[in-house]
Amino acid sequence: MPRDLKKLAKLKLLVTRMEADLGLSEHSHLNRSLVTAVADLNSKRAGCASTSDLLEHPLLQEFSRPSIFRALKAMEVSGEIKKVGPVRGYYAPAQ
Amino acid sequence: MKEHIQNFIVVTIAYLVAFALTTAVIAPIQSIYLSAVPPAISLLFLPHGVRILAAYFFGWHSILYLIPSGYLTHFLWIETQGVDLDLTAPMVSIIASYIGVKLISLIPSIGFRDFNMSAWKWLLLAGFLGSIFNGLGHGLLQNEFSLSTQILGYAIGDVSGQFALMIALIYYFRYIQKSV
Repeated sequence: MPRDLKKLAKLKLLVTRMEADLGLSEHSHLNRSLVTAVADLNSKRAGCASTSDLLEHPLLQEFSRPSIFRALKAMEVSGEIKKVGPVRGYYAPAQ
Repeated sequence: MKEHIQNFIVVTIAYLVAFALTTAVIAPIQSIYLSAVPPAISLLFLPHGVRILAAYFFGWHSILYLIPSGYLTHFLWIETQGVDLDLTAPMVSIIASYIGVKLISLIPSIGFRDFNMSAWKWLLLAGFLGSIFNGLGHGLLQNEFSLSTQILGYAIGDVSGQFALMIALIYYFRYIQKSV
């Protein structure tokens, strides 16, 4: 790899780490918006937020459908949100 | 040789842009809202961030890359502010920044290549150290030491300027990524 590319990669790594540490990354922005949307729908729809409602939520309009689905899965694994109800596609904030 | 010319151009442009933003945008705002702060002290001195990042990425070569832009802005500063500064002042600032980064890189567990340690935080610490050395150096040149202006004033302005520059880089990379 040319040395100037190595330096660019080094700079990118530096700012990416800073972005993540400060909570400025697009990923953390999506996560925060998703948790807020789940909590908002949760308070309106008797304890759960459906995937279709989340996709239409104003806070999530700037994100693509695949990004939202990926984030939902990752946040369910990390315990930030949980699945609720007998059928798939319903979420609530983790207590 | 080509690589040195490229690095020199990048560092020079970055330093001149940072200096222009500091003097043409930040300084007037500071003089309106924080008029109690002496004009010689910028509370958001962006060029310090360029000096530290240059020292981090290019090592001792950064000293050579920064000399022309350092002296150009030095003479512009003297001309516009009407202050009397020692001719060696830009060298002191450049070398102080390099020493700050070099000292931090000597801590074995941090190293230049270790990014698992949040390198940006260590770079801010390097910027703080460099700023302290810069303040002490300028104090020696002017034969007077003032903790509030030369040491703390420089340190606050330099570190906040470096932090602001690094935040600007985050948004620059984000913009580049979206526009490609």
